[in-house]
Amino acid sequence: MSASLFQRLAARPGSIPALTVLALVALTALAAPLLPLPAPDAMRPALASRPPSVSWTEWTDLDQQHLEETHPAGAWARQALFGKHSLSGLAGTDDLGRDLASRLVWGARISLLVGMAATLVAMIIGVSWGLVAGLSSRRMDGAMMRLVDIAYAVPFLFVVILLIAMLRGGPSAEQGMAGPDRLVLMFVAIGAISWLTMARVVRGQVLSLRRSEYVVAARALGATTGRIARSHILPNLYGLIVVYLTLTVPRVMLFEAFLSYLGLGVEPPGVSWGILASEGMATLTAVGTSWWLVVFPGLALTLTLGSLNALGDALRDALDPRLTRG
Amino acid sequence: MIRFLARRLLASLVVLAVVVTTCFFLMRLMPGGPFDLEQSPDPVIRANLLAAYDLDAPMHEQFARYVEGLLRRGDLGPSLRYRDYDVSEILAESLPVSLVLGGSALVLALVFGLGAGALAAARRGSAIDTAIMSLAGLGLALPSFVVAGVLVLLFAFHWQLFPVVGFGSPAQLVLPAVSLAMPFAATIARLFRAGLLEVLAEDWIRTARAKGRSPLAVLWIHAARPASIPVVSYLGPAIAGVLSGSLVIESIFAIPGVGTHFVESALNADYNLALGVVIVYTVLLTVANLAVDLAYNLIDPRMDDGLGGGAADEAVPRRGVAAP
Repeated sequence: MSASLFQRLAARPGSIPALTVLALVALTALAAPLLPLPAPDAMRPALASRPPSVSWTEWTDLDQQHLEETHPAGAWARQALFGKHSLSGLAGTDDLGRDLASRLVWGARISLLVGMAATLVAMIIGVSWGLVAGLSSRRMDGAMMRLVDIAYAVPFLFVVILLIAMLRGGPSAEQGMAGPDRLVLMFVAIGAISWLTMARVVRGQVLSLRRSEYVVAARALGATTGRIARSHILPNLYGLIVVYLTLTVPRVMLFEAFLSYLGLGVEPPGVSWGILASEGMATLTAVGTSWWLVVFPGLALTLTLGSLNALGDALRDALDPRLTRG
Repeated sequence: MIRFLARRLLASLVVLAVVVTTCFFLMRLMPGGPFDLEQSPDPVIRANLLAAYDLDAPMHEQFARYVEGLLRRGDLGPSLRYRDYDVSEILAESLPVSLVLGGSALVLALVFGLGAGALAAARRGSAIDTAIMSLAGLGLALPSFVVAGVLVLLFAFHWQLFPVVGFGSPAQLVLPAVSLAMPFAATIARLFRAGLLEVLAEDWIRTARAKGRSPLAVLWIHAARPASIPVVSYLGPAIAGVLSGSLVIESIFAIPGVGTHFVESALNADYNLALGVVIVYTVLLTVANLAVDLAYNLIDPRMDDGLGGGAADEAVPRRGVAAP
């Protein structure tokens, strides 16, 4: 079954390039501390606003210090692998002389983390909601799905922006609320508004599954609703859930970029692709544009999101041949 | 039909009430107030300011007064940031700007999306089809601010065809409207192509062809209407997406619309302005969704008229949260 699924997936146009891109992005993000790149927030005013070029430079104490603070194990491994060598300026530098290639690689970590964590939140809420609604009495099901319908009409985006902005603007911004907390807040917020479609799709599938013969048989044998949900229905939902996970991640990442762009997401000196794109756009108004600051973050976002979308579509088609379009 | 409308309206009112109540209290429960950034540390001045804006009363009394003003006089209260301005005055100035931008983006998205989708479906499997669909895939993945950045780089700096920022002349509208429209045009193209392909396989299309109808007439006269149902059902989320997308686009192109006010008012803890903007957006969204559902029934009278919408809904999220 799984082998044939993979074959069907591979047969969809675009799925192999998409998988390759995603694997590369994920690997690069994971290996960020080990790569021979300057530290992402080490400023070198002498090298400010340089267009892309390739040059080996010295790995300075500044870089080492940064890496040791954020990633001690990585600092040691990197030293062992590349010694004092460092490839700088691959994607140019920003107006403070920070290395864009390095910032992109480190930004991938945050962007992917937020994307996956928020999707996880959305999945937990959406799948439980859909499962419970699908297995409940007609009346309960109706009420729960009516709530989802109503929630679709709420402009959550604005509510979330309102909350995050208020939290940021208040005096608490200077006191408590460290970086990670805000990240957590962000993916809980994004996740909490992205579960509706998942709930609807899961509930639809549960409704058709609960009428299937083996579920009726299990019930006749005295299985409780909880047991039916766990061992008979949930396993049959995995495919569907994976498809919608793949399609939710890019939406969520886009939302993160959007929030960061508005200055409401990840906070500098933390880097995410949204922050980088936003910084790039800010330099556009200055005299003499630094095109690489706009193009590379945009490219990173587009490639990753495009691959995720393509993979999600291909997975959906591979899982359900009836849906095959063209 | 009347029952359907009444039920939808009732649901919309519930949504509006919930949104207003939640935002009203959450904003006030958040740490930080509208006058925390004020220069003067004098507690007397602060107390006077709070009293002047009726912010020293218990929260439920403030709420009661706000709701009363809203329902009786349509009063959204004074802005806490822009002295001597009422929220309704600020909205009256900025809303038309946002509507012009959003409206042009929506029209662009429809024209290009439907055109490209029809072309791809008519030339199914050809190089044109592949090219259009790849482009649509790209458009879907491109955040609107990246599109905006690239467009500005090319058309404002490199070729200097359009102005970089500002609002007022049609030339200034081109770049922002195009960047805003891009992801929606891409989605519409995909939906319309899929819809057309499905419809073109039907029997009555073969009948029309057998009658001797030209391929173009078959496409636009016979197939387009049923094939546009997924597109119509996407318009609700698309409108929501255009509204929220304009938050970013307005700030990039320095357009004095509602979006810039919204982010700023939230950052400044300008309770009344922020709530006013949320109310306006919720109403716009509700009206748009209602219009979409009506259009739905007009296009295909068989559609069930329950709150849940038709089956075409399932594939399309009815909301455009991450669309910008």
